[in-house]
Amino acid sequence: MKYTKILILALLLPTAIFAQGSQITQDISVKLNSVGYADISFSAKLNAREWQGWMSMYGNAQHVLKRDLKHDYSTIHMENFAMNRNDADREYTVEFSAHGASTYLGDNRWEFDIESDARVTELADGRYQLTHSESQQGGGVFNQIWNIELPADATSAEVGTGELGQDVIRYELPTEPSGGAGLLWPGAGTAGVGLAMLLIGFTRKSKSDPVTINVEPQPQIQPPAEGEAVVVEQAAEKVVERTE
Amino acid sequence: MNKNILITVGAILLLAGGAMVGLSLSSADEGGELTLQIEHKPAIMSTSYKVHANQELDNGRYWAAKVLLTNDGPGSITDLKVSYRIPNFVEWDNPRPYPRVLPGQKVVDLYYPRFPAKLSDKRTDSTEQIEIRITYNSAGEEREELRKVSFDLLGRNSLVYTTMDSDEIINITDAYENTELVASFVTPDDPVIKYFTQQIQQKVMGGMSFDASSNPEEAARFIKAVFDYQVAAGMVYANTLGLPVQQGNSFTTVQQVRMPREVLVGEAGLCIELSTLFASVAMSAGLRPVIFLTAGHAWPGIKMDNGSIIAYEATAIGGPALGGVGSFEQAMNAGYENQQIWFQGGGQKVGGPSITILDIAELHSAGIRPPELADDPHLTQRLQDKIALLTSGASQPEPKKTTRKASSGGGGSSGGGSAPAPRPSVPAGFAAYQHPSGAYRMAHPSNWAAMTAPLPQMPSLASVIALNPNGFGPAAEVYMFPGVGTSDGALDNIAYAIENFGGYLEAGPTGNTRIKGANYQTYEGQTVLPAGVIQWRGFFRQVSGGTVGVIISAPAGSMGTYNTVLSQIADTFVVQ
Repeated sequence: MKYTKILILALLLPTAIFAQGSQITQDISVKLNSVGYADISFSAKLNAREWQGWMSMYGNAQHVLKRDLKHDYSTIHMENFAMNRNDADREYTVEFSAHGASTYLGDNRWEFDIESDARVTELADGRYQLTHSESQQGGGVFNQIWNIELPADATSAEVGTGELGQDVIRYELPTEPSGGAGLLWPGAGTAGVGLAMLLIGFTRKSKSDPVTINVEPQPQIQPPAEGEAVVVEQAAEKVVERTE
Repeated sequence: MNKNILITVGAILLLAGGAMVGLSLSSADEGGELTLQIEHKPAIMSTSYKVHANQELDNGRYWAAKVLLTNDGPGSITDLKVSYRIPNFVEWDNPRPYPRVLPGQKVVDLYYPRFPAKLSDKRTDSTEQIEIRITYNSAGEEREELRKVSFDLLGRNSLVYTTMDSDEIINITDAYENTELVASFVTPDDPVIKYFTQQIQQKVMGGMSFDASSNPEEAARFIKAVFDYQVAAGMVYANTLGLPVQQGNSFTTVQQVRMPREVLVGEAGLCIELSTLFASVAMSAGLRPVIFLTAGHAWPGIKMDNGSIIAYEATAIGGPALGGVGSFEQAMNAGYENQQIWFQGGGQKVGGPSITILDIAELHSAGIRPPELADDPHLTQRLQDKIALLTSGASQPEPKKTTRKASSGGGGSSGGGSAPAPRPSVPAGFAAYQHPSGAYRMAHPSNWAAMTAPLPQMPSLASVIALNPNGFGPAAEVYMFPGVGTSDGALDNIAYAIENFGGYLEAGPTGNTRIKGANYQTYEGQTVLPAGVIQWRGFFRQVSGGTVGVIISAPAGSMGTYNTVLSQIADTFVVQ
């Protein structure tokens, strides 16, 4: 099991922009999909001073931000990086896909690592909110609010502890084949039995199926007398039970 | 059985069986296609072998290899297992299982090798291989792949400052991204270092009080004991430059750094080696060492319980061919000055741009730990002989002397154990200034302007003495905070006021100092304003009814130029 704590993104805010008493809040959205990757988007609105600090480090250098993210979050594979900033309102949004964010444990069970000292609230089925605050060297406080959305058909979600003692969200998701693959030999066996029964059924008589035997008429030995009632057995059918 | 029933049941079974076979065939996995992408560190330092085994450290960034496994096929891959080994060093590890990799899924697998402790004996660099074995099942077929990548396994004395791809390096931080690994060269648990520390405490210091981390005098006495031993032992400073080396796509500086025990017995060291030696001994003595690092220099210090740092210049031991041996006072003064320059962002004046301050205890606690070092009776015996030789004629411990506190102001040009020389109230070329309320007085260069309450928006700013009253330049500011009972509270007031000017303030306490007999808490910091960055030192004290503070400042990069005159101004400040 690898340790994939992707939930600390303070890096995106250089320490230098935190002044005494400042509070910066970063909103992060995480949408997990059915093959274990997460679409992550985080955004913040900064005041003038903070914006100046952020711009000096990352605002005009998306490549540095992407490089630093890849470097510091090397336990995931990052794709589809994009950054948008709104200079007028001093807001930025960064998006990327994080492959390997959630780990498949087998038996339809998945596990997603979360920040261990965050406060976790279950908002609804499959939706969690994490809040995490961290004091910065400059004296400010950095708040992060995470909204985590599990795949739509995830069930049995719960917060637990991972193999390395880290906090995790575990959930179940139909991942294993639905069972069709396991029907090959039982199906073949069943069909074989059915085929055998058919063959036997077509080739043998059953006791409920009467067998007709034609009997030759007996020759008349003595002609009946005139006026005498005569029973003439012209032909007779004999029912013979199958003695199979 | 009735024939019809037989035929009917047989037909049903045949149909059902056929349906099951059909369903099975329709859902049968077509199999996955596995593609691999492998990254690896171009070099691994033997001394930091524990770091590379720690997958929790710094968000797992110290992996040795990273494999991206992608299923590009239409079906699943099952029973995927990945394992690694480094022949001659690390056996195949337990394969990490991935029960199923769905079509389109990517899996990231990381390798954290658990090197044996014997790696700390590795003296030379070598090229080794990481072997990667991947087994999996695709459409019922068992498959196996074996890959190999080469890397440099460095000897225990090689310190590589970055493993970042040279194409990615854009600044000094990148070029020194491995700097925290210096902490793995600090070896407080080395039996040789432990022995040495005990000898220092017993035979040189004559005992060490438990409060050294809160008592600056006792901490300074410890530093002095180490320094005196090094000088007496004939230890010298021996400078060498790091060698630029190409490793994979990295072009980095590799420096040869001996382990502290080797420096101690070898009696010669670089600045970084003397720093790691001191840090090892200090930590072994229960203190909290730090190492200041610039791109070209390093010096150690002790972090006190109140957060202040007592730094000293370990290279002041000098050497006969280096202009002689410096005094302890010079070592302390130089350390203090370096520290001041560092905090003022002037690291380039001390070897190169500032990189970081390493808090060794914090880094060890985080997982950047030193290698296991076995006792070496030969080294211990040599050390024992040396200490016996040095202490045989003068076994009396050094008398407990008061040394200059590292946080004392005034540029640290002199002092040492002696009390600061009295300064004239109004130095030559200075003019006297007194606040109209009579609350305080001070002196300033005659050609500087003195202004009282110059900013109505900032009522706490009582006076400003500036070289350039209409612009950006060196200045001394006096603040008065009625009703504010702490220096931190006063500083917060300034910070809020600065925010209203569109700027912000970064500051930290550095200790205490005395001005005209009064004790002041000292701070260092910088103020970032739209017009530029100002670096400053502040002196605060509580007075009747509030707090008073003096801040001496200069535009970033010019503090060195104005430091002397600004310190002179601060030294004349008297609250009446």
